[in-house]
Amino acid sequence: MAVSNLTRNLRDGELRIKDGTSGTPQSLTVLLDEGDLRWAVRSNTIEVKDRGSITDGHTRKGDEEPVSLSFTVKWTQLIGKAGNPADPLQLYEMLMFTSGADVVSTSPDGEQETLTMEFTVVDPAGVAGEKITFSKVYRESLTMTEGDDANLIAFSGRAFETEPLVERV
Amino acid sequence: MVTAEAITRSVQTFWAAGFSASATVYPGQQADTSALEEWVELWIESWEEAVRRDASPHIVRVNVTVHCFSRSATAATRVQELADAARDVLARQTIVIRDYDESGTPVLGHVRLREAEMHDMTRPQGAEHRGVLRHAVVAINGRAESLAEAI
Repeated sequence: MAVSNLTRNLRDGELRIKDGTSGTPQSLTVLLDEGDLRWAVRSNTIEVKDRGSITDGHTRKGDEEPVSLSFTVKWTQLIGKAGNPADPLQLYEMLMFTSGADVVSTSPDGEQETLTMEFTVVDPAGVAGEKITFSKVYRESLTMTEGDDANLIAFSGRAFETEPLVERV
Repeated sequence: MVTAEAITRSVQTFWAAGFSASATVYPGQQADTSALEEWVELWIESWEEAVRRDASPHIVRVNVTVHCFSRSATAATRVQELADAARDVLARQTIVIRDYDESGTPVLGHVRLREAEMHDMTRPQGAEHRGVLRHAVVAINGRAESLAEAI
């Protein structure tokens, strides 16, 4: 059997972020995330009614929409490599393309800065893990929040594609 | 991974270095307290592992309690003094978790303790002890995290 119907949950997922460095991209696995990764594939439909009638009307495809995605991570170190080149790259400076962190956009110069995000979901039954790749992810907001138990970093952005690439791994 | 044993030993070591107000009895230790005028007992009562991804560091919520006992007939608030001393040592502290079984006692992580909660348990004591053995409890919740290495 090439698939398993065992329910996946946050324990099975892993989010990895890569930049556009040629050769070997800079990458980091998102640790201490809240397991609340969320994405939405959106589509627009143009409804053409015939004199107000749906029965006699029809639909057409509307404009394409990028994929929206968001996730939350517990706040640890914000600046690593940007503070000292010998230190490991940190999530905040990667998402912010902080000067000194040498994070390279996956989009050509002159375009919005983007990253690649890969969400791997291991099959707990060991049969068919899957990887969901979001390309050209740009940041819409990065919200920093203080908390009693943990401070949080919340990313919200869009992948400039109509749907992520889902493949078996 | 931060084990219960490593957390316990690390907290006990930290406590032993910082608390000198009275004798300490540790779990599993047999002590004849009948001759003691005062003593404290240090317990880590619970370890609750937090939900996490497979690749994420271990996070363990712990509950540390210090039971303070006093028979002082002349100092009615001695048990509160012991509780204050215990709170001063543990509350809001960050304690390094070490693997004491390995040479060099490598660091496994840290436990961050929060603010203390104190309870006077004297009244529930049996009538024959009332006014003799005073008992206060200092309870502190904490959060132990294993070291997170960038991958």
